[in-house]
Amino acid sequence: MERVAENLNRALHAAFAADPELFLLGEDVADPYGGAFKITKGLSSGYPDRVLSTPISEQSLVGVANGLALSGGRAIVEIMFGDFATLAFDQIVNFAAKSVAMYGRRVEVPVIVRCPTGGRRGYGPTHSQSLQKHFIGVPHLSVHEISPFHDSTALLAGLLADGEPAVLFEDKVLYTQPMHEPGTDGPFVADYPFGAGGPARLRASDGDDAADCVIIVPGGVARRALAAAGTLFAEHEITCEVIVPTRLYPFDVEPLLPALAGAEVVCLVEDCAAGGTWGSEVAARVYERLWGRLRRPVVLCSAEAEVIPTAAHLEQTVLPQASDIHRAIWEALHA
Amino acid sequence: MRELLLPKFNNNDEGCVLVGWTVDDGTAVSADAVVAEVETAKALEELVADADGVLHRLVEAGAHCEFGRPVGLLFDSRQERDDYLAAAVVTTASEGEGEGEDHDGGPEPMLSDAARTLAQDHGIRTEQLRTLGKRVVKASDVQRLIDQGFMDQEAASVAAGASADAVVVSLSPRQRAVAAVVSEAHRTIPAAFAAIAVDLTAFRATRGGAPYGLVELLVKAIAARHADFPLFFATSGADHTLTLASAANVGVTVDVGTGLFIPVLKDAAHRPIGELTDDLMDFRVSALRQNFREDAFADEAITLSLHNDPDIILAAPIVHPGRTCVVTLCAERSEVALTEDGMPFTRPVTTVAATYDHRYLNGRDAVRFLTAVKQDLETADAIARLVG
Amino acid sequence: MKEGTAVSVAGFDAGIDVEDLSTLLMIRHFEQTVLDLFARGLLNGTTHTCLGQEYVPVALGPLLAPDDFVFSNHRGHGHYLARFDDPEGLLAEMTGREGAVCSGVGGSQHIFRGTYLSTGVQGESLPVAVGTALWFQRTGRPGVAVAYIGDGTWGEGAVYEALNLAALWRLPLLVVVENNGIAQTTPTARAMAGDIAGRAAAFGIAHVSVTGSDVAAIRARLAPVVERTRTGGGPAVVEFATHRLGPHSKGDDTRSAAEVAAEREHDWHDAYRRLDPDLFAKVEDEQRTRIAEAVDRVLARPASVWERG
Repeated sequence: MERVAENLNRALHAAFAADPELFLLGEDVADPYGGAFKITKGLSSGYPDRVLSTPISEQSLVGVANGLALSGGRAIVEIMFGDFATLAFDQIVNFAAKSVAMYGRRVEVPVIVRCPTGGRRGYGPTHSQSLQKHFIGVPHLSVHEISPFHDSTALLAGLLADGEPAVLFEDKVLYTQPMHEPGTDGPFVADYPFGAGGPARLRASDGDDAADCVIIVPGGVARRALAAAGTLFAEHEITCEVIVPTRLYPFDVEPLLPALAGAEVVCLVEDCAAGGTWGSEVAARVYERLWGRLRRPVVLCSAEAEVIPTAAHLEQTVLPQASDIHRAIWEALHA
Repeated sequence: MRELLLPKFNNNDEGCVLVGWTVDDGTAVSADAVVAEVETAKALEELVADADGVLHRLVEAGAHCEFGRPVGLLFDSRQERDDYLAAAVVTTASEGEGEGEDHDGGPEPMLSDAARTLAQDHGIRTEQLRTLGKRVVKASDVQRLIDQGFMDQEAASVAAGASADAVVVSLSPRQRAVAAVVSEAHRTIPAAFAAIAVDLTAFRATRGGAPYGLVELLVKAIAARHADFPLFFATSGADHTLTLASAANVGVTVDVGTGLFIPVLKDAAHRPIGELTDDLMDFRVSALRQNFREDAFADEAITLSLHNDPDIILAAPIVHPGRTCVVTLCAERSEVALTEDGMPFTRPVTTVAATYDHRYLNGRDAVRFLTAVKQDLETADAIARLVG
Repeated sequence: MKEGTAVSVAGFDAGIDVEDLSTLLMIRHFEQTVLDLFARGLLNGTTHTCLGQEYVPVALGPLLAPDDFVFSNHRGHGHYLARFDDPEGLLAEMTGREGAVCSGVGGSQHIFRGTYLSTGVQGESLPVAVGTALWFQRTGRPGVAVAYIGDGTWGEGAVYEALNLAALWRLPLLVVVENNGIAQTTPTARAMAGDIAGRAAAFGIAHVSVTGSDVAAIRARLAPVVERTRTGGGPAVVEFATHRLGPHSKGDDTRSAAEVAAEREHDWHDAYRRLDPDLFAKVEDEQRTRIAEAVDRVLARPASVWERG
């Protein structure tokens, strides 16, 4: 049984073995420490010339990655806590993303900025955030998140081959959890009806029965959504289908439309603070296509519009728990 | 070591979901510390430790637990817990192989709580549920199996000692809960009974389109006895003690076909009868929808058990554990009486009875209580006072 | 010559290199024409001319190899023209005409061609330049990353992060500072505590100070500096004490007439003309005509097309 962190580490090793012009930069990524979350364990030992531990210079880490990409290489940057990605905003938004198009012809900028994200570890307001929403809507910048239902080797290879800059979010608590296998997530089993690299679909149901509720969540929230799906069925016989994409933006809503149109309620859940969220973006896309057919408004479940407290009992009140997801769906169905 | 039991958070659910623990396994907690959050169908509640100790979790976050079952253990010391864990490892290692390996692979079907309950009631085992071929099983699916006759005939017959072709039924959990309550009542409460006839002529005369009925008037008449008969409005406790109620909170039996509920009309002595009427109507609706509020059953001081279906002349209910008195209202009937001149006439009458815990209340008390209620119901002035 | 202008008399005695002079005058006339076009409403948006600073890229040009990566900034026309001798492509870019270097999308500030790239955000280019220098080092290539910045750029934190990395990893990075004493409307004295030499020294980076505008002399002075950086000697900061003769962009010159006149005294233009008036006049005429004809040709072209990839 492989944990998500091990799967991601394996993906990085595979990428480095396959590509002699791939570089990785980050703070404290060198062995034996192997990165704050051990994701880069073994990489600097295997590839000492291409895996660089840097000073605390988030802006320049990404800038250097941009230079390597311009020169014909590929680069992965590890931002120690996704919260610090704000320091590199200029290099990501104004240089990496814009260079793809602002010189009048397509320029490849294969840079992946990896951001450990999320709370539930008591690290406090500036080390627990989910900043996906701040990178949404930047032309030529894609936003992704790892999931326990997707092998990171394929995910990473896809991003590198894309040729465009990407921000990859990695939920810290997810690192310690197992990758999905039948049985890992109780009665929920994953299938992939939306194509290779597309969202995973988690169902406990049979055949093509339409689920009462479709929940769309990024990987970091997925298991909380499954827990809510479990209690919703146990207590109220409400069936849920949980859809977990790895590509958050640009988000292709088209393949999901049949499932969404057939549901009593559609719910989007994320750890970002409320307001201008990924969920609201996806909901807008859903409304464009399904306005007349939705039975009720899309439910958006996110963290409170507030800082994330450090004490566990306070953090729980701000970040969405399985019970919050359960309640949001229940209330929507009984409004 | 003591067990940390899941307290009963309401009278309607059988259990709830333990949403999450707020302390780590093995943490030393003090009495009254919040250790977990649980979610009933209606609200998020806090589970507190009821004693100091080192907490050991027995259930995982997200698990559904029955009220009264242990969800954790409180050890006197970390060492005690370590010893317990060491012993547990040995036993689970030996029995770990069998569990979950004897079916044909794939995840177990996911049952809703209602489905699981129904299956348990009727002795339907997992293998039988698999015949449904469904991964997700609702109560309606289980009902289908039951209707097709998948009852556990053999086991039930053996248990009942009946012959092979006898039809045997087993109790639903709701009924089992009822059985448990009445058995305990029967075992622990020496109940006595008295009944009085009540002439409803005055009640009928004064009613004239009033927005209340005999039930509500009787509630008021009972509540009016609070000051003079405090022991009838009390909760029995250990060592033959009684805790007197501060207000005449009258529980009224409500059964609209969804089960017996006893919601409480709070402070019935002081609130206007119109409010009590409205409350009782709300209770009936809640019973139909099965969505009583959390506090609907709290702080009952005395029970009114309604047996006023047509032609019921007498009923002797159980005194529920904790109560000292249950008043019964029977059906209204017509009886023939003679005037002073010997002329026959008919009048409306009913029977009001009291079943009482004879450890605390004696026959004379019951008779006086019933007589006072009767007088209130039979006098126009008293009725006018009660209805305000 | 006024005192303080360290023009090497020896260089001028050796004669003017015609190619250098042509390039200098081509850039000069290009910039003057650009301002003229703006004034006549034929150019759109904004631009930042390098009048007075043309000699810097002209001096450095022959010291750089085609594969060296050059990073320019907003005031980059001279950098581009010295490297590519392509006034038509640049003008087409600025006027949104067919043949534009970047299809008219990047405009004056955002040019990318071969291993030449300019960006519009101050300081942004330096970490990227560090990345290309890192690439040269790790792949064993003999290239140098050259980044043109100004005095005002030293306000951005990215500059210090980049210098730290370049020095730490001993990278082939050449930082060329065109210190013209003013950043937009803010004199350097009001924006910079300490000086650039001190900043380079703080990171242990070699610092060279260049005054005067004698291209040959400057080139001779800088050849060993570039070579040292190229061959593993680590980064270097070359600081030109230069003079911006024109406005920051257009119409935003807040200096007094006397201040601007004082800048003009350092202009290489008159110095070179005095050295060889006949040659100067001939070359200037050629370049003036060349630019004028380029303008006519480019303005006559149809609008640029952006192939969205």
